[in-house]
Amino acid sequence: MIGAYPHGSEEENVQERIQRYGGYLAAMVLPNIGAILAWGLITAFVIPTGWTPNETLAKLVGPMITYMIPLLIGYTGGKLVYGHRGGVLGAIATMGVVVGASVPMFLGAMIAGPIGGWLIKKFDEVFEERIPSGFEMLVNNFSAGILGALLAVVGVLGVGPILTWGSDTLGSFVDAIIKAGLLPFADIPIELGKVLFLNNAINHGVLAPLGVAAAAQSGRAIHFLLETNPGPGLGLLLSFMFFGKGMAKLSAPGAIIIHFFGGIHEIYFPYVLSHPIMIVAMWAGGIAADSFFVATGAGLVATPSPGSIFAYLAVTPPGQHFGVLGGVAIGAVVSFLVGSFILKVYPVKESEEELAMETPASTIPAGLPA
Amino acid sequence: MTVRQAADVKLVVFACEAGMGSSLIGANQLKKRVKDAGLAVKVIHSPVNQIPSDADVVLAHEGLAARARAAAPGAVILPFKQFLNNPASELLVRRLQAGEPISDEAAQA
Repeated sequence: MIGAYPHGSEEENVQERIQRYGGYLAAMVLPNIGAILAWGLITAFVIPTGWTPNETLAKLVGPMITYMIPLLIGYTGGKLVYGHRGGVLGAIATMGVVVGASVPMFLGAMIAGPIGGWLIKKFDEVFEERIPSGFEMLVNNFSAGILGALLAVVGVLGVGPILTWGSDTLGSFVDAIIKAGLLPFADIPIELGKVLFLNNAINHGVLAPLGVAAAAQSGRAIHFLLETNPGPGLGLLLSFMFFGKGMAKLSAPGAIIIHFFGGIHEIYFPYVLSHPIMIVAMWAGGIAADSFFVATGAGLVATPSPGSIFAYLAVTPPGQHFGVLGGVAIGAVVSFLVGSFILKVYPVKESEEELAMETPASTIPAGLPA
Repeated sequence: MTVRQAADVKLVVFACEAGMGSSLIGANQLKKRVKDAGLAVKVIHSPVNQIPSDADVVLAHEGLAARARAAAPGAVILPFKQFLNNPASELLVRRLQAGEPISDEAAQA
């Protein structure tokens, strides 16, 4: 199951392909996370249901999520393909999609951006040697301009409406799942995906675009809570701290600080991978927390990035603290109880390697790096 | 299997998926170790897909090792299982200090 990393010798297996796709999404979204958080913080404060409602400042909210963030993502996507020139075309293409859509277009940007960059790259490659001398600048500028204009038009007339339909459909699907009470079970693939390093693909590729569309309407979204909850990981690490053995037990306190406060969830993946049955504890904690989120109608304003309790506090809108923090606590308690039980019944086998690696406590880091 | 002589190791890259989380932690820890050991090595962090082509050694979690190899075919890949106090960083610093060559095979837990 987990714990082995099957590689095709030359071909990519499915996991690697998804990881590569997720890495691409992460590369488009994460460098711009500051903009998303800025929007989230402003929204949390100034919208009518925010902490300090303010009509003037609230005018920032719509344009930021509709234009600024998708354009940044689209530019970054194009830039990944073909540098700044690709980025410009990516932004133009994204603009088309944004104007043609009636919901915030994260996914649209993630598609249009790289395509725009790729198209101008291909154009340049084909025409590089055929430009008459002296006309280079003219051709460069107008190839970008004309291609950009075409992409924008295609975006408005075709892509935008298609993606709106796609986003609405997917959103309704998720709403139906929520109404049927099945959302908490989404934690099963989500948690599996996390320990296989697919967390970015899931969070930024699927949950964030859906969440942003929902948050634009109601000021909060449950989607932002599903992958980022630091509670279950905290419970898992606590159970290793009390009932684990060897390196896992000794390094758990430091991992707790990095995971829960620093928000770097990757730190707990090796703990699950080293004793794969522990994923059951993660599932238990996650499903319990998600059930609580659904029951209390909890949601966050934006993606908490990283998944730290501090980030959670920053993007929790007014009136949601009970639901959000309650879910974090429940996740931690349940995963701790289940995890501890598992460790008692199926203890970790300390391998000789681990015993050999055990060094005096003075070399174990006590917490955050310098 | 790639091998580098200790003297040829100039750029060490700590990679993670997004290049903002665990790689930054690992890179900072390694930087400190490298500085304390007085080694003339540059340590940076990077998303696994964007590892610079002139990287000499790449440290990445086992689960990302295949992608690291694909992104940096000329570099020595040192995978590790645990992020905290990871043995790959320790091994690298030890070998560089001793002037011993670094190779993929030397990677342990």
